[in-house]
Amino acid sequence: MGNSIFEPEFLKRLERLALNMEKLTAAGSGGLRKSRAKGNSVEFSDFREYAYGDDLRRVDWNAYGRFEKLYVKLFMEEREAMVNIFLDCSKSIDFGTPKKSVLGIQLAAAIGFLALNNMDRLCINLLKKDTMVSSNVLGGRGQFDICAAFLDNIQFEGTTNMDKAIKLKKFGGRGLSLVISDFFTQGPLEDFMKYLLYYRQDIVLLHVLSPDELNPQLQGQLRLKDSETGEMVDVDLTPSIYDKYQQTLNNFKSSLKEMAKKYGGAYVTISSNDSLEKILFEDMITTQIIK
Amino acid sequence: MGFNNLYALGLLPLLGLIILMYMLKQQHEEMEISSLYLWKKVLAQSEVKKPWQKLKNNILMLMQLMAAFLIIMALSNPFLTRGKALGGNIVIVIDRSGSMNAYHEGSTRLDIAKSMAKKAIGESDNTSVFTLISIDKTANVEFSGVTDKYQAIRAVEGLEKTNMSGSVKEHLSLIKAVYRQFESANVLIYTDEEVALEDMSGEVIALGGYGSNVGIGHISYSQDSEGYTALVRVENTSQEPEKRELALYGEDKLLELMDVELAPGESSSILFENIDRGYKYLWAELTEEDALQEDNRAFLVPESTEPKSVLLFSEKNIFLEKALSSIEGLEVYKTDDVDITAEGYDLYIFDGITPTKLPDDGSLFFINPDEDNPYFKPGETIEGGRADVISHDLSKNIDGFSFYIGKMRTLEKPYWADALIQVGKNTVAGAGIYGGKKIAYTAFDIHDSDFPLDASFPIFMYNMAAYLTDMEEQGKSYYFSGETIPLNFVSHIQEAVMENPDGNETSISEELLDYGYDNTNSIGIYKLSYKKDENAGERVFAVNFPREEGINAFQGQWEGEREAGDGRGYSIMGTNLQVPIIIFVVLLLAAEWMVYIRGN
Repeated sequence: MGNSIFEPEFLKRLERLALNMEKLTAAGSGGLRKSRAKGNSVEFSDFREYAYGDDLRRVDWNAYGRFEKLYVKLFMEEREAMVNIFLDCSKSIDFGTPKKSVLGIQLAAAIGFLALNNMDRLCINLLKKDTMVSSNVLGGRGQFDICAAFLDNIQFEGTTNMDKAIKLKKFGGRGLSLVISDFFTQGPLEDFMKYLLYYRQDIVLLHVLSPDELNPQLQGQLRLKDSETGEMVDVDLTPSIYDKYQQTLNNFKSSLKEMAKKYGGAYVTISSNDSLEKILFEDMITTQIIK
Repeated sequence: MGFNNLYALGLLPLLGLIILMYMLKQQHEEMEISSLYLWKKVLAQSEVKKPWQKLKNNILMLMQLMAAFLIIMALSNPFLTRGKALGGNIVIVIDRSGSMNAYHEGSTRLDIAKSMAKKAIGESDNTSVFTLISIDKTANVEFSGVTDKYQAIRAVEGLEKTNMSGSVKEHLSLIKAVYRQFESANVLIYTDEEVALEDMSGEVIALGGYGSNVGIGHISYSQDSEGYTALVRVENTSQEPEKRELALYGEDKLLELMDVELAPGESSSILFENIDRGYKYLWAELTEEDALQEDNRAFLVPESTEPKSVLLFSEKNIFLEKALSSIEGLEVYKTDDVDITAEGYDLYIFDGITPTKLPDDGSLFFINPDEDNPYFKPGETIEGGRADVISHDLSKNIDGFSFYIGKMRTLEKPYWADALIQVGKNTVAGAGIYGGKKIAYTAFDIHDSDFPLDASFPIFMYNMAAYLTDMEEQGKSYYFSGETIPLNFVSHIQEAVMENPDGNETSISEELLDYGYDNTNSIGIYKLSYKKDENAGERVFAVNFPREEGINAFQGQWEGEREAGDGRGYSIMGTNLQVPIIIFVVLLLAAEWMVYIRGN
């Protein structure tokens, strides 16, 4: 997978976007890593009255001349954010028409592109069974190829224990963690979110489901086989079972959304049938994951 | 629990076929999906909400299995055992005497007895052999040795009520005889009479009890110059005081109404006076319905009151006078004056003398006639001998009797006369019709024989008087149901037809008249129409409900008796479950259909 996965026009549009780091800055105490390119890009934001301990270099003396009060200039600090993408590589992701895995990879690549394009640092983590395979930390546009290469040739297999796998991640500091998965996973989902929050990660859950999962078109008496475990269940697909499925699915999505909200994160349901443009330019902008 | 048809259980392996068909059908189409994560939750949720949901997939199969199982069970004709019950040889005795017509909660005792007997037959073992005895005035073996339950049930159903007096006790010997003809048997006696099983095994099912009932126990009449006086005795057989309205009818006309109040067990005689003569029959009725309807009416036929007059021409004949005076309904006059011109009598008897002028009317009876009479030609007196009464309508009840005659006249039997008594070849008594007159004769003087000393003499005289005066035998003023009404009161009847109170007519041939009419089950007035000597005649008879049946019907409650015997001939039986099972199967199939519809 290389740059060719994105159309030039699409790339142009992507370039105009950035991952929303507002939450990071809003929470921001000033001690995080400063941008290496800060000299030209300091952007005035606001005034406030001087308080003891403020840097005297930031006092606006002109204002003092006019009002005889000490005001401190506030500047929007640009930061270099750490973006972690967790991609579920279980067998269940490699299913659906179109496959959820394809969209998952495209989504990871697009978000990676956005991160690198905005001079953020990027790490892609593939969740496989109980383990995790992470890319090197990438920075700068030039490393998108490495990102794309890492995303190429992923094997989707087995059952992912998302909780165990994510907890293997060692975070250097706060950042943005995006989890791309169908969340058909073993282990409690809430635990890994607590873990992420503990490491001061902004959480974004990208819930990828296939159209077959969102609206099954099955009929009659079926013996459903789990692609991951091979387990089988006999189901008579009566209207009442369909109703219950839809109810269960909605509950599942709602619980994930609630959990994300609870831990200060965001949640988006994505159909593998959706175009990348729709996801990026509509769904993710609507949920303010991208601005 | 037991089965009447065990062979049907051989179909049970068919249930396996249903399971097999389901197993073949149940192969689900296999389909791989990404994850069962959600589906498991869906199924778990369904199972949590409805514990039986696990079965839902198979509920149709289970219902079909159950339906098939129940159908097989129904075919096997199962019954619920209630311990040991009757089987083998079963002698069913049903009392259908008049008291069994008493009502108990809307059904008569007989109906209850019949339904209980039918139930017992239905529930009995298939190897049972039935004998049915009905008891009315006699014990009737309706059938014996029947193994077909339905035939037995039909026969029990066919038992009709009677109004007759009857007692199981009286016929216990017959029941025992039937019982003993089997090596082992059980007898079921359905009766309202207190009966002991004695040494028989089986059960006496007591159907007697108390009830609100007032009946007419007796009806009679007397007559005087004012007319008839009817006496009706009303009896309260209840345990409570009763109030009733008693009506007296003359044929179809209501004559009088009276209110009667009776304490428990009390009886009261009520007189209805000054009833006009002329009614062919009278009847009394208690107008209110009660436990026993049959004893609420009683009928009465007053006797004919016209006596027949007889004129006896005799110098002295104490035997003749005694014999004639003992006959009811005859007014006998005597004379020895041969010169009188007599008329207006029904019968003239000439005992050894002949009047100068024979009467124009009435019948004639010549005893030892002399030469002056125009009908006979008596010859010389000869020595008699043994006289034999020969068979004839007029020698009824003395047929075959004989006596001795000392001397007699030779007298040639006229052609129009039938011989009644003969000495050797000589006819010494005869009778017949000549010139429209009934004429009888004897060719000997009664004093010259030992005939008056014989028991046959008054009967002979009665027969002759009855024949010659057309004096018909007066029947009783009423009969009880089941009694035979004698019809031999008059001979030479043609085309006799008896109409019973229900309006049914029966022709009675002349030969059967002597046997009387015994089909007197119905209560009310029977009308006999007949033709005699080209003249039409009619007689009415009353038939009433036997008093003792009304009295005994409400004697009290007793518990019956059950004697298990030695157990031989017993088998397991009980409540038949076939019909309930069939109903359940139908409901089950309906439920299965609903489940099937809902599932789709």
